[in-house]
Amino acid sequence: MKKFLTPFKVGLVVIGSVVAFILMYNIVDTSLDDNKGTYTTYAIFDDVTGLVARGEVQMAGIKIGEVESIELLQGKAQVKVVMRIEGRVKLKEGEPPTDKSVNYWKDGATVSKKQASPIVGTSFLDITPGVKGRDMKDGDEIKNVDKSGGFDSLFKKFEKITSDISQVTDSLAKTFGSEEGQRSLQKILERLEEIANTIGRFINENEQRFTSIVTNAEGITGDVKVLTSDAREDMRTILSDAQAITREVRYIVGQSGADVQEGLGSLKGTLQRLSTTLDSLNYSLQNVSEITDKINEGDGSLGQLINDPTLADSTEKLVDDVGSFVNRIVRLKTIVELRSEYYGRQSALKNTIGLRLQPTDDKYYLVEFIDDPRGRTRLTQSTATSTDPGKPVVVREENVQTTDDFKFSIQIAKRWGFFTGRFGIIESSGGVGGNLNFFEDEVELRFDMFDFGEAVNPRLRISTAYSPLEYVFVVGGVDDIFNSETFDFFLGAMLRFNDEDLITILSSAPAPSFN
Amino acid sequence: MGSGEGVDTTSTKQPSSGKGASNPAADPEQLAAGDGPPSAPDKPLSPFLASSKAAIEAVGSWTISGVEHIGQFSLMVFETLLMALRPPYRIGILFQSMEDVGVGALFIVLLTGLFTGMVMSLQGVLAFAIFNAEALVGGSTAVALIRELGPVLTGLMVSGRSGSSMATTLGTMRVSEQIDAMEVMAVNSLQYLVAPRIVATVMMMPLLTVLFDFVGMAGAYFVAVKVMGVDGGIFLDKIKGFVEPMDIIKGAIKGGVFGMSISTLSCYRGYFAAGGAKGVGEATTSAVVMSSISILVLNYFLDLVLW
Repeated sequence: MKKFLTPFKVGLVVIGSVVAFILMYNIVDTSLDDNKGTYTTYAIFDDVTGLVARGEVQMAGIKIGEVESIELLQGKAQVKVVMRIEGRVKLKEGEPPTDKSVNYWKDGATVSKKQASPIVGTSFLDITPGVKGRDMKDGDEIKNVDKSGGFDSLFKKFEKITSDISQVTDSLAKTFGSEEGQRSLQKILERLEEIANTIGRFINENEQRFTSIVTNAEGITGDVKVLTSDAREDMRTILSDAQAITREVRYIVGQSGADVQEGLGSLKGTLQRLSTTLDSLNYSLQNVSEITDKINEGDGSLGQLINDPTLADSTEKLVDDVGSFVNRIVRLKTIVELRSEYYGRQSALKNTIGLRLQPTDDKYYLVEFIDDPRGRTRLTQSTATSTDPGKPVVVREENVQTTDDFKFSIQIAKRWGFFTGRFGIIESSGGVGGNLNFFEDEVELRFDMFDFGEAVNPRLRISTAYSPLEYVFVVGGVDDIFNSETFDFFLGAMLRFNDEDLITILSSAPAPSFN
Repeated sequence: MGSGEGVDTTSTKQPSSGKGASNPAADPEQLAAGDGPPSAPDKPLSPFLASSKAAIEAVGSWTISGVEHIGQFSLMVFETLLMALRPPYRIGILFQSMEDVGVGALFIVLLTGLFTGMVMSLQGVLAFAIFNAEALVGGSTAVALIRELGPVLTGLMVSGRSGSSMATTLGTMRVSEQIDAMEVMAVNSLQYLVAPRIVATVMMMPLLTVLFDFVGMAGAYFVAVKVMGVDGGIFLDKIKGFVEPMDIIKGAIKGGVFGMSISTLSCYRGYFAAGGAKGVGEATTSAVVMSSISILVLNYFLDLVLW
């Protein structure tokens, strides 16, 4: 026992420390995302105070690279800063300047030095990618260097502002500091006081009128607002009517000017027409007043619409609901898995097609259809009594039947960090399982325990999947570890697509026509 | 040649180390009696000269014994490393030593790590709160733990727990003449007793260091995030800004070097212990003191080399 325990305990310490190392390594690992490789660019700065090698290079607040080296250019007070940038980030060179004296490449990538925080004093580089020109390659120079950014320049500006302020105060002191200045200041203050007094008196005397003016103005603007915003269509008709009427009045007045010369006979008729016209104008304006009154009181559909707050509330709620529903649909990820495994002892292929519905990052539903060479084993027992003297009285028959059925799995899974727990039906029998994901899900360790009733021990399967390429996994593992007769090992491959791939496939596939 | 040399080394060196205490007094007298001309009578020296002479003699003998210790130590380490590479390989004994160092010290190392991380975090939050920069506590604790405190405190704990046990075991075997008996049976005692302990300590120290770091960081996270209310995401993110992956490996390398110094010094002290039970006690004390000092001094020089 002792002999067994010693290596076991030592092994536990070794495994524990390796796991601890991997976890800590993942936490502190800041290496660049070099799926698509990295490339270097450089820029020439006048001042790199606070910038260090291995410092961050950011774009819009996201780390996209590191400062690789900082070196002083020979014979110049300038510094060459070499940056290593992730391959997925494309920088544009911009268009070369037409004027040789200007060293600015239009619409090209720009780099500026920014201070991370005023206390710690470290700086980082911020790059904007640019929009025109060719993509930058390894070893290219970022021509546009922004020299204004950061706290350094801010402090310089402060310095300038304070010197400006001191100049102003100096001249003020010169103006008002002298005796003459003080006297004139005194005079100005006296005049100011006088003016203020006059204004105060004026306002006091006319307070009543000011109040009524302000109230009137308020009322007018309120009415106009209601009219213009709510009864726009009515207003337009009414105003066009009024316009027509005034045009007519003008015409009549113009005509009546001629009538005077011709004789006073037609003047009466003309004035009568004018009176009728003015009456109808009066009537129109009365209508406007009535409509606005009704709207204010909440009569009619327009009034109700404007005055009823519940409508606005329900509209808002409806928009919210639609928003959250759309969000939920957008969030739902669909992942399709196709898995083929070759079982060594049975020399047979096992194929699985699976569908993952993932509403949030830490939860998914897994539906799988499995074509298992082991099939499905059913054990039936039957007991028969017989009266035939040649046979035993009771015959018990055990029948083990293996059918080549499809099996299915339906599981609900929840993820905590690198561990995912699964629960549900596994290969047509209740079971539990789990996944351990490492290295950004490139390596997946998976275990399933199910079939608790079929054999003495439950069926435990442990498999590892490694993804050497995107979408493609190499799978290997052992099946039914506890049952030595049915124990098996397997090796295979898995394809895993997510819904973005599906969207690409579906959108590029020809649409069915219904002609 | 191997086993014969081993016997030879120990048998020639043991008397000299055993005589260490009486050497300063005995040797000069012998020299004076043997080599001095017979015409020089025993003229009493003036008190000043006598005390100066004693002081100079003390310095001399101290120097001689120091150099002697260094030589003996170097020879033992060299021979042990040589022996460790030669068959027979006793895997069982190696595992036994690994259990003794690794598993035996595990609990105390984890406990120290947990509370070190927790207290660093607690004080860090309080101190950084002055600048309103509590978020930095994750990074600063991680740097302190992974680069310095992890290896050093693990080393101190292992030297107290396992180094002392090595010195006592070997010392007892030496004074009860078990080591001599082993040599008589033509078993190389360095290969059988010392080599597995050194190899096991060098192998287990990096692992214990990593575990210390991990448990310390977990304790720091718990105190900062769950007790003091620092944002968990920022706590972890700031660690990235301060610590590089290579730091963990360098910390583990430091642990390995400390393991080497702890095991060699402790085994040296125990292996050459003399003077009965008292000698074993002295050897143990001196083993722990020397390995602790060596850890602190080595730590500085390793920092210079590694960072």
